[in-house]
Amino acid sequence: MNLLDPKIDTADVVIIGAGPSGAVAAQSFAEAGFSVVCLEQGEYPDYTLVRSTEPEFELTKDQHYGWYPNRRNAPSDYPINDTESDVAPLMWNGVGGSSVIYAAAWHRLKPSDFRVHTVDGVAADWPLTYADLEPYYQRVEEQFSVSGAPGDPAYPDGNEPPLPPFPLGAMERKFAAAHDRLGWHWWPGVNSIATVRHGNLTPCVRRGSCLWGCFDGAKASVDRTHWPRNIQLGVKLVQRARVTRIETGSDGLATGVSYIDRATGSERFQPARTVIVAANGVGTPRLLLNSASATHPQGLANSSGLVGKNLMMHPYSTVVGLFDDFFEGWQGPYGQRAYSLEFAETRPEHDFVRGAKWQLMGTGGPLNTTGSFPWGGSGAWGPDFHREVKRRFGHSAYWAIIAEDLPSEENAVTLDSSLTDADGMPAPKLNYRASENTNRLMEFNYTKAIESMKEAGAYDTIIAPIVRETGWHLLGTARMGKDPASSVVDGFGRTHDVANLFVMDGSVMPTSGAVNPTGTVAALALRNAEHAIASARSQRLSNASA
Amino acid sequence: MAPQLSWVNVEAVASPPGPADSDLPLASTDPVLALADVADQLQWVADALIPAAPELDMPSAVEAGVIDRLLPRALQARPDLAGPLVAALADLPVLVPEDPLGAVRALEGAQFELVSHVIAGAYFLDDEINRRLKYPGQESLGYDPDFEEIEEVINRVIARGPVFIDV
Ligand SMILES: Cc1cc2nc3c(=O)[nH]c(=O)nc-3n(C[C@H](O)[C@H](O)[C@H](O)COP(=O)(O)OP(=O)(O)OC[C@H]3O[C@@H](n4cnc5c(N)ncnc54)[C@H](O)[C@@H]3O)c2cc1C
Ligand code: SF4
Repeated sequence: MNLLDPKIDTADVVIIGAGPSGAVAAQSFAEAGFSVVCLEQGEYPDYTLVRSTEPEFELTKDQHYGWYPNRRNAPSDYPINDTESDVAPLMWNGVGGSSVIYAAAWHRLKPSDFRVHTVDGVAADWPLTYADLEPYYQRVEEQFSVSGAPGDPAYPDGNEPPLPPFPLGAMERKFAAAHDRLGWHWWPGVNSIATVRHGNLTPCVRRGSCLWGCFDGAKASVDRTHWPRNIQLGVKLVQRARVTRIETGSDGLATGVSYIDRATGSERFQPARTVIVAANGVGTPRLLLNSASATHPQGLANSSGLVGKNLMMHPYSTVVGLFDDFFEGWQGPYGQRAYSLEFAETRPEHDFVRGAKWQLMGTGGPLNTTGSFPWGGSGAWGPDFHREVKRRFGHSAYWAIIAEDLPSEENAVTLDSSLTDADGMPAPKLNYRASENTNRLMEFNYTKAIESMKEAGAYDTIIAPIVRETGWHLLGTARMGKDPASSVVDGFGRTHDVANLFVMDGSVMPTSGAVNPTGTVAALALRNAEHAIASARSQRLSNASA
Repeated sequence: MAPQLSWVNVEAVASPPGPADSDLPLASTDPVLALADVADQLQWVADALIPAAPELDMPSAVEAGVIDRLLPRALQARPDLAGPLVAALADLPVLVPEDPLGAVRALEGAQFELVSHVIAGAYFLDDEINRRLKYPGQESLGYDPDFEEIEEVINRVIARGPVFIDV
């Protein structure tokens, strides 16, 4: 390997991963005048493969934009050994990261989510508060064209999405009325989807392919919202660049990264003064662990032994209601049409701590009535086929129940001893089990969600207990904290061990909250990047980086 | 008569792009086996999964045109599924078994999922079937919110007070 190729300039900042966290950080550094190189193992999405205007939509939607990398098996993907995990990890590897396929349900964490140890005596407090992150939430909500109704009482004042909300449909009206009668919280969907023209985004036309790539250009995936501007600002985005190691000098500081150019198979080195990892809760610990050397045999930035530990994936169940009414449950946003945070906080009368978020969704087109999601098992075949299709199609809605899972060191990402990706880099292995607290929390929420469904008029309900392929939120595996013995990074994403190495994705979250995390991931990336910029003068650099 | 499906040659279409040395059994192990070779199985399997329901005004898979019209279209959209479909059907008897649905269900789990998904996917490509279900397809809708209604609804929720712990 040629470590010192004179033709390659030393970048001020090298970022690994072009998803939301990498894109937000890249923009901040580039705006502040730093030279930025972003290395991304995948390519730009090809939206012409999304056939949402054609009858073929349902049959083709998961061919290129499936959620589960082990099944999708695209050249940019890496295998993940998840045989010891209750939940299978989901992601999209390419420019835009998983925002290309995310549902775009947008949330902030609540104040108590930053104070779980103080409030409940379990897990850990964050080294920052809701008030610290609030201004960054506001700014990323603008960057991600967030739409919704202002004033949700599940949050402190000032939670005001910049774009107007989606209209209410028959389904939303049913649940609004039901929750009025029950006296429960309910709120129209807040989504990072442009309802009106905003930045690079066109208004949503509600074709509902949000989770399989938005052909129409309304969903805030960062290949659309951030990368065009990042490139204008001079960020060098290198596609098909799979980073295998973060290199360090004799002084222990990061000197840059080694990567495989997937187009040619050749090994390269990108020197950099600062290294930022934004590869998600599985990709980040994988890379840090694979960067072990004689001076740090347990992996880089791992003196605490916590790199890869405390994996949180938000176990997810569904409660489906069957109705006489007919809803257009295949249309977007798909997505969240509405949500409830009624049971998101700890209550003294519960036999568990923390809570869950409920997300209201339609159940999709006719073909979706025959699959296992969200029904918890395949549809009916043979003599019952048509009856069941007619019972489900258009006549159903579901509450997706997203459980806050507490951190546990048993739930971990490690390196597999034999499995590797196509470039020979060790694959990650997941050990993950839902805890007793999660199981109790889920049981309680099933009961309440059934109550909600019945109140809204459902004549029958179906529960799908923890659905395996729902690991869309990958969090906690390089947790932040004040104490280097019990955390990997500080409150601004800087690793305790290596002064010029940062983690800026959801790996840093000490607790998971119960809501979809991208709003928090993006706000943290913005805050961390701006703090790194502000303290750049005092940044220690490796002697090895010019 | 065997339907005209022999254009689907497993060797030509079954393997999606990927590492040349991939050892995943994505395609049928018989390189010359084509959909035409499993036409007999297809005929009974399709109607075992989706029989007619006259009382609901719904045709069977074969009546709807799955074999000669819709499945070729489905596999044109999903060429990656052709090989695995043929491989799964080849594991089933050529003659109609006594319990057709039971025989299909006896396929290995992933194979059953695949066969049922492709047959149903083909069935729901038909305009007339979708019309009977009142499915217009994924429509493009305009933006016409009733802001007054939204305000009324959220004001009722706001009136119930905060639902977060202020720490
Ligand atoms: C199906 C699905 C639905 C979701 N729905 C929602 C939702 O509704 N709301 C919400 O808030 N969140 C949702 N999420 C989660 C959301 O997508 C993530 O929170 C978000 O994408 C995280 O951003 P990130 O940049 O940290 O990581 P990612 O988006 O995962 O991006 C990481 C990038 O790093 C690259 N990378 C990894 N390792 C390497 C390496 N070694 N070398 C080079 N590149 C590398 C990857 O290719 C990838 O592009 C969903 C996720 C999925 C999969
Ligand atoms: S519903 Fe809106 S955001 Fe979703 S895919 Fe369609 S246009 Fe895009």
